[in-house]
Amino acid sequence: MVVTDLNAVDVPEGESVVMEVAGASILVCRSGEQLYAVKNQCAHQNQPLAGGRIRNGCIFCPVHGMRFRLETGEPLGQLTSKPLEVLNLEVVAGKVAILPPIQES
Amino acid sequence: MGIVEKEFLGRKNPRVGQFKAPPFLPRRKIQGLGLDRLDGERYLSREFMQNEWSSIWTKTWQMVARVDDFEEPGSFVVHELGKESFLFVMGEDGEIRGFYNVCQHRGNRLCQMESGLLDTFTCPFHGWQWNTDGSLKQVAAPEFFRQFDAGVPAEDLGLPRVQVDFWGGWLWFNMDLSACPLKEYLGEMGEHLEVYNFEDWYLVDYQTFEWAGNWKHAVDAFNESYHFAALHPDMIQFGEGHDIPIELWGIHSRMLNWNRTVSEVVADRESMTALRKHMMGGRLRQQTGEHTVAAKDVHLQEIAHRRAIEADTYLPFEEMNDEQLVHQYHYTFFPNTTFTQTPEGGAVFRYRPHASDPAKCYYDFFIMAYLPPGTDRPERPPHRVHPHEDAPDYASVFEGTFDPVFANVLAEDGSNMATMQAGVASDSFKGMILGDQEVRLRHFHKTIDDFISGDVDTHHLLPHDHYLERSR
Repeated sequence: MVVTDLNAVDVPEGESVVMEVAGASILVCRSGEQLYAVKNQCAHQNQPLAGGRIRNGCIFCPVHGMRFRLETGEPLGQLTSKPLEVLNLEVVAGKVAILPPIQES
Repeated sequence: MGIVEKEFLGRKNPRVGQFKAPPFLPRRKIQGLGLDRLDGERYLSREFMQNEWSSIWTKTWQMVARVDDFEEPGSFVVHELGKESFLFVMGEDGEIRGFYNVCQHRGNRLCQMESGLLDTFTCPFHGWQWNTDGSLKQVAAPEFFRQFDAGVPAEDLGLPRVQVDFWGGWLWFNMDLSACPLKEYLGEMGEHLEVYNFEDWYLVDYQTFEWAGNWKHAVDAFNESYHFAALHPDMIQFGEGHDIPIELWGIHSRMLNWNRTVSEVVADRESMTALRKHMMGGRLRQQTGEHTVAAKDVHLQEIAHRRAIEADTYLPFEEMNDEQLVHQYHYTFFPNTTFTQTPEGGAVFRYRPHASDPAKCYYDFFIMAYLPPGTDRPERPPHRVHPHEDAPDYASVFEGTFDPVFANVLAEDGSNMATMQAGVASDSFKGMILGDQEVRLRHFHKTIDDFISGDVDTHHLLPHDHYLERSR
């Protein structure tokens, strides 16, 4: 487990924070009470997901609008059938912690 | 006069007065529009299809999506019609605009998602970008374009606009920027429906069926109820489509279908069978009194009940005529949108032509319901599209959103598309013989012909009585 410097409360509702964790770019997202960590790379055209709108537990890739369910990575839309890479996230003493292994791409 | 109609006219304490939607009864005489056969060629011909495109689809108002699909700036919906794709998006200023969904660089489809939320629309091919107001955001590597040596001409490279307007909680569009406003286009028949408060309804489910027939076969199928007795043996147990009132209003038309009664073509109209009991309860069972009358008279008891509670319900019974309280008001707006409803809910049909094949169409089916005040709009299932070859089982695709009995009726309607398409192509076929109960078809096809010939256009739409006057 990699405990980061990021305070869970510092991820505002409907927004995301980009982090470097073990050499990979990770996006920590909040939808409601729930925090999610996904690889900061869209499964459609491999563009960064950072800046994508987050609503109702889903993220919209800011480039072409592909939508993914943050909890499972499930693709919701016609652009790709590949899921988003989802990482396990825990909050440890108020800090966001990411559970490896993180696959190097 | 139909028997149910006679029974309805004999009801106790009829409400008289002025209503936004005038009652059908007593029936007014309608134009016959001749007796000629209707040719099969119009369903088959690519040339006819092209004429429809250039004279009808590119000139008329068509429904796109619920306005509440656009929740915030960046909310977008892509709508396909024939060979075109359109992008509707709410800008930062909260205004919903419509554009041809075409990258201005090489012509690629710009947005390839059906709906969503974006700040910028980026073409997947070379990355040219547009803002939510349709203006050009940036050209990728403009230095490669000598055309842009003097600067990128952003105003020339904005997404081409279409007209948008709003009615009934729906977004509508028109490719013709000089077409008359939507309200004028929908005319008096649009005003009739204002009493239903469609703005306060919500979308329960939206599914699309690809049908192996021309789009006009689908319109025709739903614009008459003469077929009920033969095609829908279940439905005539709890409703009546035999000898029903029909009216033509300019380029649009309407009919009345009777709910919560038993068709005159059924021998036993009295018994309350299990099917009748189930289907006559309706969505608002909690507001429905116990029916203590013969099955054929349930509608009369229900009308009396609704009148008795009209001051205590959010449903707009007080502003409705007696027919509307229980029965089905079926309105078709030219060319491709039908609203059919009771006060508490209904369906909207939208028929779309295929991009290139006159033997295919898309039937969009929207289930709508009145949202009781103070309640949250329930989340709806995602839009599903059913290709013809999937042969969807209608009862299962509508599980939870549509009664299986009605889903089966819809399946029965869809079952004739491929066979109609094949049949009218027969060398032996001499043209359709249309009866008085099919006069809406005659009127619909005449309107198509009038658009194609240029007799009618949407810049100077004639008032409905003048349009029909000319056609006598």
